[in-house]
Amino acid sequence: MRNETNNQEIDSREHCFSKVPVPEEILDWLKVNSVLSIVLSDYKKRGSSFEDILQNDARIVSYEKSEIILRKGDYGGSVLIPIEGTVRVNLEQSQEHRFARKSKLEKRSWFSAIGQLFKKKKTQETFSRVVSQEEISGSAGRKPRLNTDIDKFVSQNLTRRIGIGEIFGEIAALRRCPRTASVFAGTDCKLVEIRWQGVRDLLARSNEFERFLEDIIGDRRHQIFSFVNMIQNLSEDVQRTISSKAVFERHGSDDWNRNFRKVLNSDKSLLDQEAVVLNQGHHMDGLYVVLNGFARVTRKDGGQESTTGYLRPGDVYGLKELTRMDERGEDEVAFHTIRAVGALDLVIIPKSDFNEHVLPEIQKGIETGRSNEEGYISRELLDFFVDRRIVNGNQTMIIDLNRCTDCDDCVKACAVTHGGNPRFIREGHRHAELMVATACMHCADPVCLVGCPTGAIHREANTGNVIITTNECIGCGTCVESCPYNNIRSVEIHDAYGKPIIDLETGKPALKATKCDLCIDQPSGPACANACPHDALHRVDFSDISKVTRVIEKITG
Amino acid sequence: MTIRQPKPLILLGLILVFFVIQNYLDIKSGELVSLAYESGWLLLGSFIILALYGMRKKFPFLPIGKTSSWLQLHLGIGLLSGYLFLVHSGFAWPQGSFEVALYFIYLLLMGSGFIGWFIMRWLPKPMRADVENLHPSRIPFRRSEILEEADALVLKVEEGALSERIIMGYTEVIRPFLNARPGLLHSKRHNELEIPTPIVQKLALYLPPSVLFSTESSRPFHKLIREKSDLDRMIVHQRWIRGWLFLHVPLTAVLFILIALHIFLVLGFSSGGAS
Repeated sequence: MRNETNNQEIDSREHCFSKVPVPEEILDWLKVNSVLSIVLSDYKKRGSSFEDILQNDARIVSYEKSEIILRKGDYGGSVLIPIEGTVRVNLEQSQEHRFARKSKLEKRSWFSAIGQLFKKKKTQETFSRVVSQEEISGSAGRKPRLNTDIDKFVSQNLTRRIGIGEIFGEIAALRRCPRTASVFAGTDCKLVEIRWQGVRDLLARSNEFERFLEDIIGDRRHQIFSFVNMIQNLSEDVQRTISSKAVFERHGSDDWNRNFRKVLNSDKSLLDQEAVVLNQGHHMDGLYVVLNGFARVTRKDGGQESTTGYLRPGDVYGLKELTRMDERGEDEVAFHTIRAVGALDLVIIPKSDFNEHVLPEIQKGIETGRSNEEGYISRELLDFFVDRRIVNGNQTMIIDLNRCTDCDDCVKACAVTHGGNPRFIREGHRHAELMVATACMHCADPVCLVGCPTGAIHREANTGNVIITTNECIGCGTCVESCPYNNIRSVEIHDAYGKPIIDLETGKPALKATKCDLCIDQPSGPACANACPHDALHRVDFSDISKVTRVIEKITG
Repeated sequence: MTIRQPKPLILLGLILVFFVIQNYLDIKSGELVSLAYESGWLLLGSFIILALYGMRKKFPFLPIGKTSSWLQLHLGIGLLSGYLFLVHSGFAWPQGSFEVALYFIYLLLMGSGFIGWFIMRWLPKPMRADVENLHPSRIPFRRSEILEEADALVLKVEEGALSERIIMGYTEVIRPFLNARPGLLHSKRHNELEIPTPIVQKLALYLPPSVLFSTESSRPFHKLIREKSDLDRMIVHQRWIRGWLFLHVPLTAVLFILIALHIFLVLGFSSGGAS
């Protein structure tokens, strides 16, 4: 591939997909020399052609030696195929810290925080210094590197070379879970990056490719368990055994975030629109572990089905039924119905393997994860939270309308800490005396992260907060469109003199995505919650049902 | 009305402070010394702590406790300062115009504070009872929309036996109501029609409202009047929720000036006295 691409300086990392066409010669090379050749062996010729799919959903990306290509734990919505150079995957857990994102947002000192009060308030998002075109395009902040001698790193640590034409990144792209390993450039290299929509299109047109990818995922899928509380403590051998026998299932729609409003406003009952995963009264065939997405737990009493709980990533369903089955030696049936809310990835650990490998560990006291199976909150409120996918939130802003006096102290506090531009709207979905404000919820399933071409929007490893690194953001608006809650905004940015910054490439005002950052750089944490004099504003983590209950009890009395 | 129990730590702290102050004043009174100086300085200290609440609101980014906890402290210290004020004044009525001014401004300040707190706990619920999904900032737009809709409706009233009366009722009663800004109190609501009783009474001069709102063409007027009345109620509630601060905050400033003057006078005319 070297000869074909050497003369072309192609790097689309600061562009979205389909902006720069993939050269014909690269497409031809991929057809013959890469895993994509499998696709063509049984390509179903209906709709888009192979070339059309790649032109729409692929791009060429270049990395310099020692640059980090993927970080373990980051979210990503694409697969990569090396076409030139050396790409290596790190297999040493102890070296993962070298790949960790350097936190650019340090906490301000008290002195610096107080200084914010005396800054001139701007009506727009403003850069207080001269901004380069690189910064506008987002290319200034990228290029995270391994700060070590790469050759020495490779010789001293366990790494694996990913061959030219091989594929990687498929677990995160197709299962929408965090990246399971870190990958770096061993030499200067070029890769073809295909976003998940394109991969799904290819899968739909080639059974061979689907089988091939399933086999690869099967080999690596025990890594998925590293994010499930209940199973991560089991030995790797047990994890491998479980994963080899477990059934991976996917329910619901991948595009749930895009058609969310349509679903919400539709006349059809939401329950009817959600895919049933397990029916109440049906035989319990195993333990259901949610890998990604959300599930509604319902129970039918006297002919009426109502929501009694929800499941989030890492939650399990069926523990009660299976342990009872183990105690009584009789077959048990599911006590509830499970439905996929949006897209749901789950793994079913068969009953026999659960009894053999997992149950003894649970009995030893291993953490079993959260049990959200019981209905702690009123059913109407649960419906409200699940219907509107508010259970996705780790930091949902809930306002007690019986105590909120519309004083706007929360908005003012947000403005003070963000250069005069509040990052949330004190309006939103209401249920009785409770309102969910339009503020970033720092979701458990952050759909906004999937598709970001530069990785500017990311989840902080230590806090779990979803943060936008401004100088990596290219203002493409992918995250704005992806957020189903309208909690991210594209804003025009201005220079220190208040003039709009123009993107020389497009001739239009440069945009950046902004949203609530939980005042990550402030000494106090979220200023909004600190500022409310009436204790009406709460930040709620829906993964902790006891805290949710406490807040709801406080609000409803 | 949503009043919660105070935070245990704050309550405990305030009770402790009360007992410490009481004990200190008991010791001082046992020494047969006038308590005016001691209680005066303690009172000044409590005023300064009370004023710090306003300062805390300016620094939401500092990790010095939630503003809601500070408000509880503000209320507790406010009560404590009331007790200190009585001790300082010797549980007696004031004498002289300066003392009277100081006394009544203090009472007004304390009263406005507690009434304000009561209003803020009481009114948010009724404020949202009628208008559920409208941001307060949109009220002026919605009000002008209502007026436009009503003007358009009246043009559609078909000629008939009642049309003249309907138009008279509209121009003389309904339109002025839709155009008017609410006062400080909202009008009583008519039980059946759920619109302000004065409007019902005024309309009765032209046409009984039960007849007026019974026809197909005039029924929308009832909906618009009701919506405008609900918006007025919201505005009135908001005025009260915010209005008490227009008394409380300036009074704080005035009281601080008077206190400074009071200290200056007391110290200036007390040479060789108290000790």
